[in-house]
Amino acid sequence: MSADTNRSKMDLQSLFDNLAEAVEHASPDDLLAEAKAAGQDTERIAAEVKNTLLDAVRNFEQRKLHAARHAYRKRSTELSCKRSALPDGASERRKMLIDAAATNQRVARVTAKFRDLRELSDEDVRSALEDLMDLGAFDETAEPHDDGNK
Amino acid sequence: MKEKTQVKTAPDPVASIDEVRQAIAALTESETVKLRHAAEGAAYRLRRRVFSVEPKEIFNEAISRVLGEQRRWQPRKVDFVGLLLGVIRSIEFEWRKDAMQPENPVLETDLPDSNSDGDPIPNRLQQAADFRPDAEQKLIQNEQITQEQLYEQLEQFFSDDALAALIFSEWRRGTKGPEIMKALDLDRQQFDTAVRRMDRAIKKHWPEGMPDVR
Repeated sequence: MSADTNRSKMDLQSLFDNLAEAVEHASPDDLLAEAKAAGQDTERIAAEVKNTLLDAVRNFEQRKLHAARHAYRKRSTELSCKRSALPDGASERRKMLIDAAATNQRVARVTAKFRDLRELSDEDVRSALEDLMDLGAFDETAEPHDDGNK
Repeated sequence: MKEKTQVKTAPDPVASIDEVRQAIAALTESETVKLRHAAEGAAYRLRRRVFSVEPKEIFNEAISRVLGEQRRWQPRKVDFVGLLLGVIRSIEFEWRKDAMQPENPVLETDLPDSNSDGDPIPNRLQQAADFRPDAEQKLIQNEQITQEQLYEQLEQFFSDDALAALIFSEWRRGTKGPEIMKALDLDRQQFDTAVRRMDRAIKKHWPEGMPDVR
């Protein structure tokens, strides 16, 4: 059978696979000898390949670090936005905490350690509200009357 | 009947970033030459399909896949060079496949319709389509050669290398490597060396990448 008169049974992908396999199956020493015979600076190749691979590791780490930083900044911004939403006046802040403790079981559990919310200093009220905001107690998705078993 | 007690073993651990870094540092000169050869080959074969792909990008993608656990490396099971060679091969295959995907998503109206017997009939878009190639397509088609023309050119390159020419001719007939080795009484090393001579001849003739075929 002649390949000239009949359509080839090998497609281009198979040709590429055949060429790739000749490198994959080769012993590294054979390839090193071929490269040297072709006048290639194999020490330089080794250094370049290692540097490229190590750079790739560094790039990956930096991408991960960048993603973590981005997530941290996003979370910090969200929290500071929430905190800035606290009422301006001390009495309004205290009312917010008392109302929340009365209607939201999660808030009630957190504030149970305080004997009387009316006796708390404004600093403690503010701090408690901020902690509760960080915990998502005032998030729209949080159930005001949940049983805490979520 | 007594049931066999199954011994549960802990799964082999996946390599950490530090282990990958150590494996890179421990690569020998010959292993780096092999990896470079594989990445260069993949980049070369992709060049006409994926714009200006370089071996460095392939190495970057390979490491990213290993560390991102798209390709988990279990050092106790697979050697690092073998792992990277496999990843490079996957990257080449996937990038070529991606490059061949149509740019536009297939719409429902593009899907073939069928008649009441389930036989396909052209849908409205297909009926309305003008299948004549536009000017740009005609130009590209005229510049592209057929697969058979490409193979004939390749046979000419190998004409002064009897073994390479013979292997290539057998490939065209659909004969696989092991059968060729057996028929020609070649060992793996002799066979692969001849194939790499072909590879060098191809790269020398088309340094910018093998022509695309229509």
